[in-house]
Amino acid sequence: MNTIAWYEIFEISGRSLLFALAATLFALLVGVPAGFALGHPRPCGSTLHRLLVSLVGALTALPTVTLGLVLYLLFSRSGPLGFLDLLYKPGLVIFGETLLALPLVIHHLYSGLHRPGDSRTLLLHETLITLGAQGPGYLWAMIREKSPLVWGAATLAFGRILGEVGLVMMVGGNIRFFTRTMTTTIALETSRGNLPEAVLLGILLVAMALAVNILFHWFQQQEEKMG
Amino acid sequence: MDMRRKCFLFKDVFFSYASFQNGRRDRIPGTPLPPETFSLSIPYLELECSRPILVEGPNGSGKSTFLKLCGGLLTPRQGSISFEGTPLFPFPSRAPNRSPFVVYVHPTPYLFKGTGRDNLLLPLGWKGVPVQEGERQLAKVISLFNLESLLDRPYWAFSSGEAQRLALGRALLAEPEVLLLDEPTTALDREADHLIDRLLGYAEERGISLMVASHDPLMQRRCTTSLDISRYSSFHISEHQGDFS
Repeated sequence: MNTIAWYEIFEISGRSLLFALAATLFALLVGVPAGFALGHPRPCGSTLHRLLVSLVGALTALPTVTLGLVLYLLFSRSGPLGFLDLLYKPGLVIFGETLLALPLVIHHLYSGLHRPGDSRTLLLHETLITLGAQGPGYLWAMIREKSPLVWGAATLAFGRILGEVGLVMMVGGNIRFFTRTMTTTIALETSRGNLPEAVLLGILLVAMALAVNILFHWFQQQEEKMG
Repeated sequence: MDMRRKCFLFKDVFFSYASFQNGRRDRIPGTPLPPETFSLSIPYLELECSRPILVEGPNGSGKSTFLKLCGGLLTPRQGSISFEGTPLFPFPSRAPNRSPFVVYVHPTPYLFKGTGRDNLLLPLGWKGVPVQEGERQLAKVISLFNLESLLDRPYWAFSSGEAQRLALGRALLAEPEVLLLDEPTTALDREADHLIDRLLGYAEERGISLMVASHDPLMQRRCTTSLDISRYSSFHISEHQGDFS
């Protein structure tokens, strides 16, 4: 029975954390403007808008292996994007995880901005518009005023990404010292019968998720205090 | 004082909240309305606002709705509203570093995160006003509304009246063409009459026109022109549209 060295456990944990933080950041960069646009307090009410809301809602339940399969078909050597040579590379893993978290971020913001009986969001929107906030100024002010919602979206996205296994396995290939993460290692070690290692990694994964969540909450509280 | 002729022009305007209740903002004329819907119907109105205008009417007659239509915050289902020849719908995009045309002040204003000073300076930042010029304007508004004690206080520590004073100062700093005030004195104390006089004086000096919805007798006395909005509004209780036109 092969056991994993401590340095490798740290290396895998570090990679998992790095992948998850990078993907969370990218998902927020795209998802926050999209979420605020979709969750506009005075929706245009077009069919396209309603369709987008339904689509984003449906994509939050997207099976990760399905997304993994699509990405695999696109980026495999014979696929239309095969020439980019990204399959089994960390970049594609982060890209896939970003795609996975994106609907969650957008949907979380949309739901938060459309809470029944919440007139404060509309009041904020009207105040910004009437005082002349436009484009980036409007978006930045919205993010600042609705920061608990954005932190919530970040926490949700990070949790979803950190616990991801199917997609990482399919597009990352679980390559040692390259694309192997904590979840794929747990799956591998369990299949090998190395249960103590799998359990240890599982505990580490939960501890890491807890630590990052506490950190996010701390940031949020500091920001509220600075008000 | 700016002597240009500032004028709102309403043509065949019809507004109803029914479109918002359905989560839609369609402007299809003749669409049947659900029963018990408030609506505002203005066939033609030319509103000269070089002098302060008082928007009158009983509760629920549509004063706030009218002011929000003037401020471009609500879209009519049909018809057009323009200010100085510029249509308000779609909302006119402001050129960078320009003041907004019209600013609407809510009866219960929203204060942004930060201190009182942050709240006052934010619109100046959007206008791209240089820091020194901003501080000069700020000093004037601070003395006008007695805001010194509120400057370093966090946004959550204001009473309703203090928030209202701060919001009035913030709106004046945006230097719009027209300032729309919705019940601006409801939470103000006995100092309100001095404040109203100072507000009117400052607005006149800076060429800012005022349109006010208020039940405050003081404010009513100060406004030389009035508009009774109740003759344009109706509470639609029939299942068929058309009986209010």
